Amino acid sequence: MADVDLVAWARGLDLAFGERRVLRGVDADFPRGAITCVLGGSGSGKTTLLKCLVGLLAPSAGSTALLGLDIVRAPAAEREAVLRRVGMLFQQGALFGSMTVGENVRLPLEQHTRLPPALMDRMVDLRLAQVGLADARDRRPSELSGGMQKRAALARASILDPEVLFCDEPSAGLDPVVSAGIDELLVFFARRLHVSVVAITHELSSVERIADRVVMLVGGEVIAQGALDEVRASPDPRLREFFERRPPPTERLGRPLLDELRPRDARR
Amino acid sequence: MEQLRIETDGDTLRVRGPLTAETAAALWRALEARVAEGGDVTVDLSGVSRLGTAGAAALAEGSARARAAGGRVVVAGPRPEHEEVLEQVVLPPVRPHRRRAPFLEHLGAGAHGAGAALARSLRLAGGAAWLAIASAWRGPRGRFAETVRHLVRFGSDGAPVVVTIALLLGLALAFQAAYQLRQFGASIFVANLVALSVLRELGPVMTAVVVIGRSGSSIAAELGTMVVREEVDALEVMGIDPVQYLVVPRLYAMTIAVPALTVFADAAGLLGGLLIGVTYLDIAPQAYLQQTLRFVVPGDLLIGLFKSVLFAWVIVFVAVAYGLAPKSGPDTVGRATTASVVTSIFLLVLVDTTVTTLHTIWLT
Repeated sequence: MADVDLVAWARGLDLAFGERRVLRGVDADFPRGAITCVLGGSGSGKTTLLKCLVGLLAPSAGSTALLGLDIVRAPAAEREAVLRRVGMLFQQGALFGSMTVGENVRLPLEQHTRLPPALMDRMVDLRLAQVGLADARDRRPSELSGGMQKRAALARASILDPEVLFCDEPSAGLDPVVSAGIDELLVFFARRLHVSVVAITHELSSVERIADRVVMLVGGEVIAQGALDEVRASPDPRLREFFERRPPPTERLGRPLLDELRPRDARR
Repeated sequence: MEQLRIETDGDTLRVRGPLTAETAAALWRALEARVAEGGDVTVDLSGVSRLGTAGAAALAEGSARARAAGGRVVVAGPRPEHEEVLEQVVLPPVRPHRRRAPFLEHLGAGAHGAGAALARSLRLAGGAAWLAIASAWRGPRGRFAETVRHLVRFGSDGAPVVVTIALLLGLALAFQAAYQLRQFGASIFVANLVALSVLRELGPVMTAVVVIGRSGSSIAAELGTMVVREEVDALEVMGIDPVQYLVVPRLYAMTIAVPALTVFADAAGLLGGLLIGVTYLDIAPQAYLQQTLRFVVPGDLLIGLFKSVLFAWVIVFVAVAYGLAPKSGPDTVGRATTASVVTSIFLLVLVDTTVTTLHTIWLT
């Protein structure tokens, strides 16, 4: 696939924290204009992959590109220029605690544009209303619930209509109605504002609503990627477990205590 | 609460009551002595009303020790719900629980950490100094208000405590000197001694120590918390350089605040000396002031202010280096804050001694 069609890709990505290998030879493509969902259980390396793609973590081996730039090795000026065209929603929101919600959302506008202040205010109000936080503009992030913080963070990440929007679990921990609202918003961004979305999620209902494409991670390896329907039809048992919501058989590390404690004659 | 009772009948322990975290210790004590001898022990569970994780752990640990000594622990009469609990508990391959690092290792890691912080501090200083000059050129984008906010926090808010401390130190210093000098009939020289000590050393050093405690620590803790909450990562992903955005306003504010506070401290220290001169030594205020003005040269004030600018940079760069260092949680924020205060006080004294030494050599 030609690079121009991809907003981001990873090739042979390896990353280890000490002895723990979190990513093992990850190859992944994120096409322009699509919503790509990165799936996988807790600890499968989803967040780590995202942080590598935006250059927050340097991989031990392999390479990545974000909007055509090798983000890890590029000089600071080029990296910042590319990151202006990118938005990221962090798992815990990462709103600035010393600012109000409105100031948080306004920050990218102040830093990266020369719009008149009145227009910035209008954009902040508009986007906050879109995420259902019109009333929360002058409150501090610490006064908001977890779900509201996440929506405020989404407003901040998307205020510049980025070319790529990375979302780390946009709807995790939210009630089903709010979660569906966020999904709708992501679809709106992708279809109407031409934002390519890369979203980490492990909520199947959300995946079914928004995903054009999925990348499935298990234990730091990509075991499948492609259109949602293709991947869903795969016979791979690990994918079957995910899509059929079956818990995998519990791994037993030793023998049950009961066997150990049973009298000899009873064991026969 | 229901009690646990253990009856011993030969090699059998008959347990009655709940076997939970509150009571499992009793079973463990009964088992521990027996399994060490290497015999077989039967634990009769038929009277156990509730078997919890702690009870299962006591049985597991007993069984493992009995095996090691050549014996066994077996259970008798478990109810079906007990069996389910025991089925869920698995005996993993033995792996000792990790203990905390021994003292020497801790010490080594600490030294390594301080070295890394110093290196980071120098790298940051280079980057921030460059950015500070560059942004003075281009105008700090919307950061003027931020610089003023920090200036108020580091400077004006700290003025009362700085002035009070300097005044009291001036008093104490003059007292000590007066007591000695009066014996030689040289009381008027108290003015010289106080002026020189305050302007060259005490003013700048005491001010810097107070600023380290008030503002250096707060910078380290504030930035440390931002690192933990991924706010610094968020800045980077927004294409905003954290050094430019977070460090430069603080650097500007500190560079102005510390010398300004030092001037106030100098004045308060001199006033302290004057008070003692007038009240304790009966020197006329005009005479004391004249003596001071005749003796002091502008260079004395300037060397003190020069030092205070260096101190300001030490405070900012050390606090920022520890604050922005990678963190794993709230405990690391606390440790980084402590380390930043200790390191800046140490560097402060080092810089002060160096400048004083060079200055003295240059003067003579």
